[in-house]
Amino acid sequence: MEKIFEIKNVNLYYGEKHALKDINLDIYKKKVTAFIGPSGCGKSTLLRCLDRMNDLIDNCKVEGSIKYNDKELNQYDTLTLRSNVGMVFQSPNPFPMSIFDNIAYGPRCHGIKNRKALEEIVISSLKKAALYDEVKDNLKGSALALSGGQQQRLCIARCIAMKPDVILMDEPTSALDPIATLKIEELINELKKDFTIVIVTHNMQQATRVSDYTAFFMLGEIIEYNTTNELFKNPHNKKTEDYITGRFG
Amino acid sequence: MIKRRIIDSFWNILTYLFSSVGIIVLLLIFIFVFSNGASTLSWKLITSDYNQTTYVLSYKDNYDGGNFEYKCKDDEYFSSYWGIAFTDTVNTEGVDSVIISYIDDHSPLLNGLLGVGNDNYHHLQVNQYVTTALLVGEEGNIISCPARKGAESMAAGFNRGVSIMTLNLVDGGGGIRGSLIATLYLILFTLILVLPLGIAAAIYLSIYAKDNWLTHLLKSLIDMSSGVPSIIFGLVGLLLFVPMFNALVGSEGYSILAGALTMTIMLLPIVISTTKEAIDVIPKKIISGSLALGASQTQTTFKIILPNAVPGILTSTLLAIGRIIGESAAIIFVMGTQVQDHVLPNRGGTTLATHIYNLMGLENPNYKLASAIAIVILMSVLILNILVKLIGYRLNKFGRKH
Repeated sequence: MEKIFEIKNVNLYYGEKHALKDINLDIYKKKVTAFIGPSGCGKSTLLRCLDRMNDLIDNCKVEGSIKYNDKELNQYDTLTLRSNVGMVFQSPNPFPMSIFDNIAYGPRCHGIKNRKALEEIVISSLKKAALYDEVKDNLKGSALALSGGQQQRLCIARCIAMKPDVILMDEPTSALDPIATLKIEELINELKKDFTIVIVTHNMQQATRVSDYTAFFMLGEIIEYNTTNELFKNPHNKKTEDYITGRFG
Repeated sequence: MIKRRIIDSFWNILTYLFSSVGIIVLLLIFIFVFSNGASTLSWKLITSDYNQTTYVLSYKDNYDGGNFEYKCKDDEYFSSYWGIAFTDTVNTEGVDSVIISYIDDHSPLLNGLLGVGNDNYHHLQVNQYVTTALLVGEEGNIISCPARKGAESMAAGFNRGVSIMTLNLVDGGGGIRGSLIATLYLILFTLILVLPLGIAAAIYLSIYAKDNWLTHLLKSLIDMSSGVPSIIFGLVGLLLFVPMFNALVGSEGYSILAGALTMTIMLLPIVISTTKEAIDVIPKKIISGSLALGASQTQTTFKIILPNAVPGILTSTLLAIGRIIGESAAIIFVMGTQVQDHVLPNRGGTTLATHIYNLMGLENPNYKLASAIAIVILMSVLILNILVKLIGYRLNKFGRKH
């Protein structure tokens, strides 16, 4: 199997706080990898390392090596890296502009000006994000008028519009109701044909439903990393077993 | 129990009393200004020049009299001998005066008046004010008709006179058109300077500046400078900007440009802090959403942050305009107190506020006119404030949705 990310001996510090301890992890191409674990265990922090969003935080220091497509992450220009590695955030964050402009924003920032090309990108992204049928008559309408679940799918579409290799999702359904959550999960299953997906989730059922691989984090360390099937059916570590059976803490 | 109730109501009454004092005083100011100025306030006041044209005329020939006929309106007084009618009125500045309200087509005054000293024929017009007239009677006696005695005595005096020694006329004047234009110029130039500077500084402070002691020092200096009395800015303007513009654009002493620069440094703290507040309330997740799409920080600033800070920028603009309209101390130092009718950016002039200062410094302060200008100022500031509230309410995207 082809690796897309190779994470070796990564340590991360927020000032004095040692947030990630000696992380080793491979993420495979066109698979869904889930990060699970209790709050504050460092799973979102690791996710943000993958598109270097941690660079934006003052006094955050990363040590070790993260390779993306066999090249050190630090050698990429952040702007190119972030257009190859997209990110969907915890709560929907559409820009206060029209649906069309939201999705065209990324391509426009990267220099695509042709109206026709933009229109194609917008429509195909919306279709891929399973949102097109709901908004096709209202592309000029405000994105803020959509429901929470629609907004989150819009953010996924916005991400897809950049034609990335990887989509990082930071608890994408934590602010949504069960029906909207279900739709996003179906969407993830659809998207993994074209994209590598890394998803952070609090919901263990969600991890079993959508992911191929699961990493269990605790206190900044990876306790166990395996295929999802194996990890949930046959955990090797006592801590993992306690957590997934709900006996933890 | 009862004791507590008594104590509570005591404090309540005290609160109501004190809060009502403020409101009542404010109301009284409004009532005072309106009752004094409302009668003087007119469209004519706003559109006419400040400086008046005065004429001294005479009709030297002995005039043997005509018998003109004219059907007077209620407040008109007609001299059938000269064919001219006068009316009591108040002039633009609100002073009681006598105005020429009708001249007969065949009246000798129409084209027969000579300018004293220059012997040019003067074409008499309706709506010119008569300040005094000295006529010569049939027996060579002099009949004096000052305007303060009213139109009736003026008409009677004209009926007895056979020639006119001097007729003092005043045309226009007393208006605030020049000051209004100077105010608009000042607002325009100040905004052109202060908005780009203030917005750029706000962007730097909220987005690019590192969180260190230098930034903190800068921020507290900006906060402090909004508390500096305006007269100090005026002093800086007088000593620094006035000579600067004298050298640069050849202005002679006071200039509106120097005023605009002075107002700019005075208003910078307000523009910076309002814009900064508007930028700071934009949710971080939207900004990181833009960055996560691979947009650069500059693109994020101009495509996401600035458009969403527009309501804040508009608010700061309107606040700035309000301050410019109301400012006087700094303006007097750099723009002078001489009311101008022909306003030029590189000459001095008065804003509405300093026009009041000018009026009150005259030998006979004209309180009514000052109050009328005060109404104009109060109304424009009031309208601006309502606009600020409306814009803030209408454009607040994040307040409603998130």
